[in-house]
Amino acid sequence: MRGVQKFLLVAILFTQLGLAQSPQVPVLDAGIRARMALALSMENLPRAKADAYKDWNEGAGIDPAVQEAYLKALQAWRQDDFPGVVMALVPALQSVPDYPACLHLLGHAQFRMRRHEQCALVLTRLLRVAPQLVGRTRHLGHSLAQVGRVTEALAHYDRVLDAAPEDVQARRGRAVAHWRAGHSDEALEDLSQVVQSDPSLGEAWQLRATIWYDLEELQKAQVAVKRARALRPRDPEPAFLLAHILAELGQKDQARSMEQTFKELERQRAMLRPIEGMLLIDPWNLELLTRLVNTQKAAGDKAAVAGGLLRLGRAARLAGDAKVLAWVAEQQEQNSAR
Amino acid sequence: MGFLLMLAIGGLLPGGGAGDWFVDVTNAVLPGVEVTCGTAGRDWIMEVNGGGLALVDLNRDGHLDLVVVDGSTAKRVLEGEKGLPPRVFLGAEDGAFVRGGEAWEMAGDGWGTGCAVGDVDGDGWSDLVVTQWGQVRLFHNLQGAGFEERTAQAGLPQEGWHTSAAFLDFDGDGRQDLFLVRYLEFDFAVHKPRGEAGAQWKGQMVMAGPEGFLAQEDLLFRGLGNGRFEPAGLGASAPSTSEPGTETGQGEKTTQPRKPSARAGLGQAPAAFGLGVVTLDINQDGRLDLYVSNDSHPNHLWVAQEEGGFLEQAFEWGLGYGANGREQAGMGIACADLNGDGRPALLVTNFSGEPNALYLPARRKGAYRERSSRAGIGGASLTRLGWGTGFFDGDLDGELDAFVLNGHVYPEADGAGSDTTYGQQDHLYVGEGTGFSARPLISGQHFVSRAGVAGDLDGDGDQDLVVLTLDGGVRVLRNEAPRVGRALVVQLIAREGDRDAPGARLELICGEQRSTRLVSTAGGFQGSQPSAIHFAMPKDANSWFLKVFWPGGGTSEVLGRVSGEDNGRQLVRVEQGS
Repeated sequence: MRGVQKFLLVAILFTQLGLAQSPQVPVLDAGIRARMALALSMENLPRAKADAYKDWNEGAGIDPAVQEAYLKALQAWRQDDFPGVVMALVPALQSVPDYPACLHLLGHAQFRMRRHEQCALVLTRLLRVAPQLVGRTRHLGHSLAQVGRVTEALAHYDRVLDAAPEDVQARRGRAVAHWRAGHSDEALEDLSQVVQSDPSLGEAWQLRATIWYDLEELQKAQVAVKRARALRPRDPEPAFLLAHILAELGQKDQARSMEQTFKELERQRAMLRPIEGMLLIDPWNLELLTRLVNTQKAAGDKAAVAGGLLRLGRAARLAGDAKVLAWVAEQQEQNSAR
Repeated sequence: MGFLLMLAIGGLLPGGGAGDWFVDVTNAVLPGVEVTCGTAGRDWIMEVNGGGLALVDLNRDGHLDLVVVDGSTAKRVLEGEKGLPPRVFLGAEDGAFVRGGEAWEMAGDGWGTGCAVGDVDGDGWSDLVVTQWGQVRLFHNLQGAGFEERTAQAGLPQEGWHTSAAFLDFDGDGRQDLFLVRYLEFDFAVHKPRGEAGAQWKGQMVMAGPEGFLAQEDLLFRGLGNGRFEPAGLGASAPSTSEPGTETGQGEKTTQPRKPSARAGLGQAPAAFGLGVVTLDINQDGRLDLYVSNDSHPNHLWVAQEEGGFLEQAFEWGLGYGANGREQAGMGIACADLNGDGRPALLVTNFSGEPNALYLPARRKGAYRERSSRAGIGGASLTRLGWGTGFFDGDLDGELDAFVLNGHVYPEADGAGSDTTYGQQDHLYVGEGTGFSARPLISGQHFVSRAGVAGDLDGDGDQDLVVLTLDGGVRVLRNEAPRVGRALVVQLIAREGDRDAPGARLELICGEQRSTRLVSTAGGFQGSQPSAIHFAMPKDANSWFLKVFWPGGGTSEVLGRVSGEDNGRQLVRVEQGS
């Protein structure tokens, strides 16, 4: 996410406006708003000419015609309100077609909502009008891979990495795409560079372990998956793989114990997944947010509880729900005391 | 010739292109067979899965017959009306089907879902079990002259949402037992329709489920050999009532099972949203195991134990989850030995956003790897929601191919941002040594497909397809793939038990090629496949050697000379003991 954050930060700086002055995101009818946003196909937005923004760069600031909408979208983005991002940007893109900053943020919001074809559509449009921004479009590769367009994803990652060779997440994405295309060697080569650049990237260690396991190189897989597990102790995936590796190495007791760990983590993830999925499109829903916090509490994940309470508090404030706010305060106290 | 003539005058359905292996010949051979499963809006999960199909030679005239299991509607259920009846279509000489006469008529009953074919009373004729949301039904085959319903005395469950079913002889007594896959507890009076239920998918209101519903455990029934069944070993609390020498309800003495104390032990795994089942021999110990695909739960692998009963071992074998440790929405299953080493591969169709999972044996015995991406299936299947599936050798090149029938559960999938569509192209995965290449089954055709079964409908040795779609009726797809080799079709005739010898293992050596197959009518999704085994032989081969391992012991060996008899196929009947 570093690239996105940098992009957003630059945009904020150049518009010289603080978030405190940004318009608030409306809370009422959030569900309806979300559904309206999701019913929009990005294909229907008006188009600018190809290369219309080939000289555009973010340092030049945001076009005043879209500035207010863009800031509204940024505010929504920071609050994980991705439908809010779409709702803010679509009118802006109707008045200033294919404006690069708007397309970039819109593409990322679509990605976060797991609307990969829409993300691909938006970011492809971005590159059509502003090809110089290719280094900022790794999410296009991610989305293409997610919908099975692996060959296109690989080609795109190559372009991104030519422009931004230091983009670790693009390289990790290319490794995933290579893996999906059956290119184990290329995937491992990319992953080797990724973990050298950023050894804290648990997903990279996990994918490395998965590939070694698939190649039946159990010792190498074990080393990698232990790193992944240390970095992502609440993620069931490393525990799943480690249980299988241990079993195949004949360490049956440890394997069984790890299987139980996996099943418990998976149980927790299975409870969280539908709530998180619904929150992607209905981010201000107090009931969902409360369920999220309670589920995180049941899993004993203090950090996640803290994050969930922050979101719930923000939503309750905007909704003016004093009862929920009081509950949040109480829970925050309990969470910090535990 | 008749078939070709009908093709010429009967008209083909739109779609299809040069290079397609299949041609839609529905209008010519099986026109106008509609099916019902709720209404087009799909307001309840009950309306989503569709009905079932069986291809079986019911009257032993050498042509495959078709059973179509039909469903019902919420309106019918709420008004106390019976569901639509299952239908029989008898195969004719020219590859066409004609509606079975009055003798084959079956009354409507509950909401039909699937079917299984097996000889439940050992009279040498294939009987039919129809699964329903409701009573599981048994139809006795009157020696090829028609069906007689014998549900009342069969002892099969009256309630529950049964999906797929499989016959197997789990206790080795020579009688066909029955495994019933079940989905979830559903009631129109209790569960709310789309919109009211509050269920959402990608921001759209959709029908609710299966999440939030109560899963139903699968069931195993011991066949008593007289058309009756009894529950077998749910957990450890249901002992056999057919111990050696006891009298059954009809006064017939049972024969002694090989494992008289056998209990199924199905209580070891939590209930799951079960949809598909295959019988297989996962560890090559000669005992039939069961693999069950579960929607939104880990899949189950029931491994038969020497001392009797089953142990659920999907996790240990690496067959429970996807490669990333996630449970998937298992729908249908294809199962076959892809490389001739005797170890089966499993292909499980899944939800959109998940790859169809291809589980291949690892080097170490007792372990599998999910390798759909490396095999060329994963990426191609990501935007599809798969159902019926099967391995078959479409072009007779000795490499097994796979068909996967696709179609979403939500009509809302056609909305923006879903990354998928409601109607979808069915897929053909062409086997190419180490992997598969994906292509549409028929270019340009998009259907909401569900169950599907492969079988040689026109007697030319290659396998055609029958496909059930939600809103497009039943389709027949004729295999027109360019043939690389020749077809050898083997029909086993067992001396004891089910005449079709389910559970028999076949090994064929032909030229450089070694292939193994297991006789099983279970597979795919809510369907029953023919018991005949199809092999491909290289064009330049002169002879072949076939070894049959019969269920219950004993082998047969046959050395044959390659011939192109009978419409391009070589048909071999192997009788046990001959």
